[in-house]
Amino acid sequence: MLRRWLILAGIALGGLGLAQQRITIDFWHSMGGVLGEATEALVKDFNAAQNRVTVRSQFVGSYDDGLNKLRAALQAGGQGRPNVIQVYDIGARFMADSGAVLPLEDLARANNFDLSQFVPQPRNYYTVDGKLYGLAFNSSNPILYFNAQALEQAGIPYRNTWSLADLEAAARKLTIKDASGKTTRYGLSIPIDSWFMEQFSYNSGQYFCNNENGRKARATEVTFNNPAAVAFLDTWARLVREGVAANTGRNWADSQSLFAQGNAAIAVYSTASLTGVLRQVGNRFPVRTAFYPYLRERNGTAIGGAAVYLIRGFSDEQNAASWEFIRFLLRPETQAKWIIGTGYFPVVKGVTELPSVRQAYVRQPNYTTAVRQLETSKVNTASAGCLMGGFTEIRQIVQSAIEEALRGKPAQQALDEAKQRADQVLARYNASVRP
Amino acid sequence: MINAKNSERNLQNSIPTRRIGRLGEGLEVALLLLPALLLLLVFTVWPTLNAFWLSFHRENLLGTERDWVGLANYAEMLRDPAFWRAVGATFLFAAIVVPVQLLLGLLAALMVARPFPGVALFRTLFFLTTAVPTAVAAVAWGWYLHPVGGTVNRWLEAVGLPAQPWLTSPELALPTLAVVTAWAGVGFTAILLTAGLQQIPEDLYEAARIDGAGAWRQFWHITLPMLSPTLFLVALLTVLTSLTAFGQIHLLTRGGPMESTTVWIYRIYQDAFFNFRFSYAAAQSVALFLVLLLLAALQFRGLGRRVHYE
Repeated sequence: MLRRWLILAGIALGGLGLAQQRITIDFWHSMGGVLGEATEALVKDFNAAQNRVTVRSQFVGSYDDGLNKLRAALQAGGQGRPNVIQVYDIGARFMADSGAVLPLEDLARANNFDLSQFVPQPRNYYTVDGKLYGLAFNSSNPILYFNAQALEQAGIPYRNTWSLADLEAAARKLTIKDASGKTTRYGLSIPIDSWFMEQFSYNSGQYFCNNENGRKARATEVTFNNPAAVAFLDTWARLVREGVAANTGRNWADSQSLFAQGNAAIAVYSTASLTGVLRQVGNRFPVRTAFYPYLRERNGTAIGGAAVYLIRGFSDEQNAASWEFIRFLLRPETQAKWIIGTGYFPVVKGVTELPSVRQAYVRQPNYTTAVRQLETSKVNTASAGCLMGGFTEIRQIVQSAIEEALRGKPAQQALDEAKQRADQVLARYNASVRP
Repeated sequence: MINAKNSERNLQNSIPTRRIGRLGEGLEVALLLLPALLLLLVFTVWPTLNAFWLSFHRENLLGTERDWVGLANYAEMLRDPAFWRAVGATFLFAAIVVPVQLLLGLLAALMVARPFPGVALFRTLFFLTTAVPTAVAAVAWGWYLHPVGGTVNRWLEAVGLPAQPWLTSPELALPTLAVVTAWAGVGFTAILLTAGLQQIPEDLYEAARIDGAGAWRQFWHITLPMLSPTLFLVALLTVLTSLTAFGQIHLLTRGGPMESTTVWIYRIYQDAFFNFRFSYAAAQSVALFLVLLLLAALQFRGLGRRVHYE
């Protein structure tokens, strides 16, 4: 009897010991504000759902801050590096080239995870040289935001697809000027961001960099002076000069406040801005969203946002724990909670059919725009998005070219000149990669 | 203070005791300085040396491997038009900040140096900008200068003037930032200049008044010469701070539009932390360091001769 009790007590103690031996992994992310709360909620759910792994999450500032912290940790011999890190979309080439990443595909295969469960575009985006490196964590695309009240008053019927020409006509009609010719309500507001040029290229079936967006082979030249991008910038600049489109600079918030106060009738932002925009607009006017515009024929947008990567150099046990966290993030229920809380879209199939997601989409139909835009995008190398190194620096160059064009330099010339500079950056990057 | 004590001892003590006293004092001084020196070593001297060392290397993507490349980074810098544009923007920026800040600071100091009823209120008002952190000031200015519906533009329109693209036009952005920077520094300048003004003996003015000198002559022949050591110090500080201004630029324009506000230090920041070209950024930092050093030396020599020391 006593012996049996002792054995039981031993098992109980052993169990306790096991329960305390949770493996701790570090997760660095760059989600602040509402998105940060949603991210922390996912981590909390994961830690509560099982007793083997504890994820220690840390907000590390912007994506660039995160990369710099990672860099510093790796320089210091790997001390303090995270198991999992969130890195922005355009860091895909860099992460693959860095040699610091354990490709997601290797882990998925080792754990018999079926990669066809992924929605194709996010999977394509983070596939580098034929291998999936990162898990699309927060995925977004650009959409049009309309002041529905202004649209109705101007007698413009709502549509969900817009060519650039249609958009220009609508913007002109929606612009209100006073007797002195000063604009009192702009028709259109686009923040100065290279991303909108990139996406317009993709959506018109054009590449932003050569070798089919760097998907067939490493990109060696940019192609952002393609006809679609030139037409987009030319129209944008013309509308700014004519007082139809507002120029609020590079800061998205400045454009957003203009739209929210009813001083711009159409705006272009990310789907990730949706929650914030709706909150800022309040009940001033109803908001409607639509697909991103295109030049002649709609091809499809690439995804934006960020992915999570596993960092090399940890024990198998640690990597297994990281994989367990990744698996949790991929579960449809987790995805459902994440997308309802944020406005991002799911990266695995079958999530939009879940009851909670359907209800949310009925409550706020604007949230379906991003998902429907994704579903109806053609899957090709244009909509896979440009994969190249030095992208952060190249974006700065594109943004300067936009600013030059908005001030009157012909769009073609501004982009041609910017291409010269960007090609140098790309060449320097490619030279710095040691195979 | 220490000198006075030493000379006292010289008179009182025999030679051996004085030596021990000196040694003890030296040790005490060393111990007292140690924490500050350590901090300086870890956070200033070491990173500076590191930057020098890094500037002669080229790194791989994550900075885990590096090769010696000699002066290649410097050669590239001298050929880089983006670098020269940044240098130009930096000096234009300083050329606006320094006179504006000195003039406004001097005016404020002259107004509040001598006590009058309610002087405390005015002093507080003038010095308030010093208490506002750069980030807070920048965000507030962002609101005031918003291209559409910002306070400044609304005032302009209220008096019938056209709204200006303060931070969104390449011509206006840098001067606007410079004025914002000068505004933020006026309080500190005024504090230093007020202290300088208060050190000028009142009897000099009394003598001048007896001799029949007016306000302008008093200012020109007493205030300005007597204030010149302080003015010199403040000018030096303002030049140095304006050449290294970062926070307001980062928060208000991020170097745009069209790189018009990408000053030297912002170029370094972008090359290091966005473009991941740490060694190239290090070369530019070293160049900036040398320029600041040179400027400080020139100012000490050039201005130093004309400064009136009591």
